[in-house]
Amino acid sequence: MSEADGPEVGREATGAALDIADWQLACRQRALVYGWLSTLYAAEVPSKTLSAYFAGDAAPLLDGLAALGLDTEVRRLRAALATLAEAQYPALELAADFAQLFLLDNKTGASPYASVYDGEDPRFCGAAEARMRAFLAGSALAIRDEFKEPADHLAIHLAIVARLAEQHGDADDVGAAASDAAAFLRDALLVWLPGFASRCDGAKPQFDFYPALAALTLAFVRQDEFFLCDAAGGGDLSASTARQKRGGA
Amino acid sequence: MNYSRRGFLKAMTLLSGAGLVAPSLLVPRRAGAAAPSTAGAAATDDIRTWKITGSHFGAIRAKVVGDRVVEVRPFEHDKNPTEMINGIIGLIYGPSRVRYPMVRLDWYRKRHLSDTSQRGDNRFVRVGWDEAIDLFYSELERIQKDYGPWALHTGGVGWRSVGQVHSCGNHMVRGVGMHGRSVGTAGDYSTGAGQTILPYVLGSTEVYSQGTSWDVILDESKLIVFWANDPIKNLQVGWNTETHEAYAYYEQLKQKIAAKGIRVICVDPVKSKTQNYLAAEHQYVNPMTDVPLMLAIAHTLVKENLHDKKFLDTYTLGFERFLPYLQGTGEDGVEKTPEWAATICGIPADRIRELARLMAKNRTQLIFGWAIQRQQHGEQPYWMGAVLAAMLGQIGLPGGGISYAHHYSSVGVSSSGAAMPGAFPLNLDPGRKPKHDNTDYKGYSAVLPIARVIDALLEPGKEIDFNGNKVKLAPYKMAIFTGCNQWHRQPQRNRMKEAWQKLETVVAIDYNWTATCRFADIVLPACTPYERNDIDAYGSYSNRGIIAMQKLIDPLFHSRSDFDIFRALTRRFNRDNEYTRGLDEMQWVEKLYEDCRKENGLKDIPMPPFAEFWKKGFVLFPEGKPWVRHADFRDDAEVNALGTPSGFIEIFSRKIERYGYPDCKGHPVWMEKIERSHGGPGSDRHPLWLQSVHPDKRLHSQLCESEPLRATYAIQGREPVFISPADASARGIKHGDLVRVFNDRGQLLAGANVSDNFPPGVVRIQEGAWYGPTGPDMGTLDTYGDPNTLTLDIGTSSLAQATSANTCLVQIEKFTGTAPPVMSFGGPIEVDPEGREVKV
Repeated sequence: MSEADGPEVGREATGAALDIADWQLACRQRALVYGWLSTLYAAEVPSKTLSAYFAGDAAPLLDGLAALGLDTEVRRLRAALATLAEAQYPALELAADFAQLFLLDNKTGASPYASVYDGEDPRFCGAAEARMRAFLAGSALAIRDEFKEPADHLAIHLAIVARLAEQHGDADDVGAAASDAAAFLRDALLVWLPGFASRCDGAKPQFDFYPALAALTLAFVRQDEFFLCDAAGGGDLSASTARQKRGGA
Repeated sequence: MNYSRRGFLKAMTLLSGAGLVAPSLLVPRRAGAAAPSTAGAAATDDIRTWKITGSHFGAIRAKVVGDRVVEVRPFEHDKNPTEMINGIIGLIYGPSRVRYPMVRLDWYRKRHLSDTSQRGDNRFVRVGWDEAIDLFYSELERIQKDYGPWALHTGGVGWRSVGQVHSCGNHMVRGVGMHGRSVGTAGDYSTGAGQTILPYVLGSTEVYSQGTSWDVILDESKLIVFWANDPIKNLQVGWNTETHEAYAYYEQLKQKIAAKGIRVICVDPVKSKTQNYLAAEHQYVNPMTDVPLMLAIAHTLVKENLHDKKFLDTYTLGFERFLPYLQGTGEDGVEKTPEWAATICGIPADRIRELARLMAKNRTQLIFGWAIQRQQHGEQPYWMGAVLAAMLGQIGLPGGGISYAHHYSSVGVSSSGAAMPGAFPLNLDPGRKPKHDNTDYKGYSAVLPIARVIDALLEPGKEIDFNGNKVKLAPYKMAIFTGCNQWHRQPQRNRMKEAWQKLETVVAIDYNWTATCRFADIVLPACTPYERNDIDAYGSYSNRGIIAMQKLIDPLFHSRSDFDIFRALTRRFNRDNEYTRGLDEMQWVEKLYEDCRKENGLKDIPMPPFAEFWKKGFVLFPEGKPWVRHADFRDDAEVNALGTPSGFIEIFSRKIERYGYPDCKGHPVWMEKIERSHGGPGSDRHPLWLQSVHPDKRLHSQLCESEPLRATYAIQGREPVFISPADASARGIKHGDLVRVFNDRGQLLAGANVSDNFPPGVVRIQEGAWYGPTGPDMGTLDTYGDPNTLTLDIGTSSLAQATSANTCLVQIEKFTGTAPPVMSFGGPIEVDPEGREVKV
């Protein structure tokens, strides 16, 4: 993606090399965020966990995301949580929203599968699913037995990015690692995430939690892609000059 | 949105919340485990190396790569495969798959006290299998303890997926039956009237009987009359795995017609696929007036002394009691002349006489379809057809007489004589009793005529006539449906909606989010037949062979086989070992095969041992000998008496006469319909007759969910309504337009398919189109085009109480405005806690 293709944003040019400690910290924390998002798309929020959300356990996470410049999205999610907290059976209501959006069907819900958003041939278990299976196989990874979903499920994508982030913290070639991760975001995720988020909006579940989460997810992934491009381009500790040409700044 | 490295890194330091993160979904691939993308690399282009399985649509070979079905081809021995198999991949990987056990939210909270008006397009929550089975089991317990067996309805299973081990109805009946008794059903939706009347007349159902071999018909018949029958359309599917062998004979028939060796007349309001394929003659008849036409033909036969008096004397009973009705000296005093019939059936009197002479002069084979008996008084055309055949005197002759089944499951392809595999047991093992051994139905009947299951909810305790018996309708509280889409086959949706609100608990087991699932409280995901091992007969009547149904892929999502589902249920009351007889899936497959092998061994029909069969994937048996239906009866009517009360063909049935039914008397009669087009009752307001025949590109509602297949026939994403050019133009409708089809019972959206095959006053929407109402309220618009939104839910008569779906009038208009999206294949509509739709 060239800069011209990206959203209208301002970016601070750096060009300076990324400190290895900063890179490692960022990777750890990015893994945390992606792991968190993957968790939320993988299954319904258990009642106990939802209570923890209501009690403010997610505040440090949400504050951090707001500080990233995602304050609009974070505000929306907080508001959704507040509304949900008023419900008589919040966990059940949220589970029904989860079911409507992600478990029943892709016509009026918001299917969490990449291949359903394939512009060429939108269908269930289509080409994107085959690509993801090949990617997992190539990475010597498998999906947990109990998660019986096609490989192009959003939660799998997010789990892969989380895993890449964990591994990349120790990378010798930060530029290459960042570049690979950015490419994955662009090629595997950002091609359909906007469509998914707008489907979540359009499906109008009872509560705004999942549409708000989808908006936050999209915003975070975009922001992260900027960071990775920055890291790939300017943040070189040992990367090739070719890679330095890529990305932001 | 702004990005700055400093800001990003600073924000990163603020983040924490590991407690909200579950363990990763990813794990390292186990050493030695084959990578899925390469596991199928061995699949070659030689389809004989691919996996094999069976289906109603035929046997197939499937290329499986990395636990994904990537290609489906017809079995190499199927010379006339149907394009329906192109829908199979879309069925397996359908967006409508039920993926997890789901429970309707309000039911989950309040159980049987839930707000049932919310049912349909409602909110569900996912539960684990253990919880789902617990809920299912505790409901069965509650029903048996609080009410008794009259309160539980086990829905009649229709076209369950093929496979003798996993046949879903057997699992439900046995599994639930081990727990307690229930209210079951009698008859079926396909042939309810025919299968009830014909045992009185010809001594068997005839609709499910082997017919005269095609070799004989092609050699001997000079005139074949396809009466309301479209075999070219309907032979695509079979009850067991279909061989499509009958098509070869239709090809020969086509040549014989061209060479003027055989005349074929299709009596039908519509130019059928069969007529067009064969280039046969068309005999138009006004809808639902076949009985007047037949009566007038019979009248001509008598008047011109063309009827076979010797045959009538030797083989039939009661012609003399029918004759006064025909000649106008009976009760109604109306002579059934061609002139009389012409005004009703729309065929000129001279043409009727000509048809009578043609039939009498030639060796004539009458072949009736089934749709004609799915109308009010549907018993009559079948009975009158038999009377006509008896008067022609050719029953039991090669290439003569009458058939009610040559459009079904390759009837007419001679049988190999080999035994076919048995099935997983339907009933409890001998001597075993249900856990709740209660036979007290509180005076209600234990069986409902299948098409009257909605009456039972709306008219609880009503006593109705049924085939010589009285049935007291049980107002059941809980219903279980497995592998059948009740919300497809039962007429009159809005009436059904009203009735459904009276149900406390509905359990649906299926692999798709059918309307039946969406109107259920507990939905259990069955896997498709392509996700389990099984065995099936190849050729329902030809007994051509046995097909190994090799599991193509593991069950998707959390779906399970019916075997596993009911094993889990019976485990709740510690009878799972009894349920399975200690055998697992493959042991059952092997047992059914080896039992069959033993049986065929006794007939000197060899079969290889199981392992060899399973590897090869099929056994085929040689063709059988040509055969003539009722020839044995004709040969010796005493020794080979029919199954009728007298042993003879009963033109007059004393038994039926004794029932005293006003709508099914002692001999066939013409009765006006409650509504009828072409000048009949109600045609002033709703002038178009809606026929809902069996579909051309589905099996009932099966495969409607397959998007690639649906794309080949849907119009603007909707089910097509076929309409004549004249009716379309009179309404300003063009081919491809969106139209609203409506009557006082309901309304639907469909896509207009303007076709020359349809005469004025006749429209067609094929049954099986998925129901997709815009909302849970009564009368809402069906967005896809399910004809049962419009059909009428009355019994055919006091005799069969069968479905009358083809007695239906409608009006059509061009749809203007913004069309709602198709809901049939979508998720539920969102409703607020008061049940009101939340507008998008």
